[in-house]
Amino acid sequence: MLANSEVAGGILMLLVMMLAYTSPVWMLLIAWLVGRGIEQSHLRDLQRREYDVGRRIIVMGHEDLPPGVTATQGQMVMGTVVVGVDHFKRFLAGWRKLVGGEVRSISPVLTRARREAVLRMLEQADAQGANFVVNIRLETAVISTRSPERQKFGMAEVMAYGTAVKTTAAPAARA
Amino acid sequence: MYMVNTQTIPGYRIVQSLGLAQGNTIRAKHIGRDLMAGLKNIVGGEITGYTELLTEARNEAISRMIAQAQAMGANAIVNVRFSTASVMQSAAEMFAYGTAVIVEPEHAGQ
Repeated sequence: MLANSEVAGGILMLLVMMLAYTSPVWMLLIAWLVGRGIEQSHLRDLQRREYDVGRRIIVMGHEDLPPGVTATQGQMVMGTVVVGVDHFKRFLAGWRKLVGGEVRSISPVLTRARREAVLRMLEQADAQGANFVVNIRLETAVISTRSPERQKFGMAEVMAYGTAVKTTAAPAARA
Repeated sequence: MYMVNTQTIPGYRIVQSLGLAQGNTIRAKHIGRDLMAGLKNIVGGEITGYTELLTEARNEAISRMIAQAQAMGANAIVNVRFSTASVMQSAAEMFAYGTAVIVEPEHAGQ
């Protein structure tokens, strides 16, 4: 999904650049439309991959395996993703700062990034033939603000890591 | 070199703990990649260039941690943790640490 959209994204990006800088209204409109398109296709992609890998691997936040399951092999796996927020969402967040409260335009972006990071980790574990990923840790780091003097959200890196474990018995299917 | 973020390694027994192994690196952003990221900041979504850049940096920190563990005579690192810190404008520090240990395979039918 990412490879395909990257090519189309490059062409779109040029268009965006040409139009966006002519007027702030254009910039908001384009950011809203393109940003929403990217978000929707990412959500569909996440759902499909989560369903696929979720049938083979169980993720756990702690170390201990369920009773009766013995680990035979373990190796560390990780997944990372850097996400940016679109201009329209940043615009909404700016208004939100006037009245306070939850910034609903930005929190879904980080949720999506976490799902992506966890999935990348799981796919790495899946390639090794693991049944469980235990002791998963999630870490978020803001790596840049677009304009530091105005304290706007720019990019954040989300990282997921854990230990992929092969077990003697396959995990019981989830209800 | 075995590496896990749990306290034990399945199928192996820890025979000796050698102490903390750590590795870090500080990376600055690339100007070309920054340009592309600026564009991506309009429409949002994943910034692939930075994902790669940070993964590279983290792998560097990991390999330094492994080198230190090897120098101690370890053959595995357990309880590995990561941390990321922004140390200055457009540069980030990647830090990896864990316990260097010597393990041997579990044998003689548990």
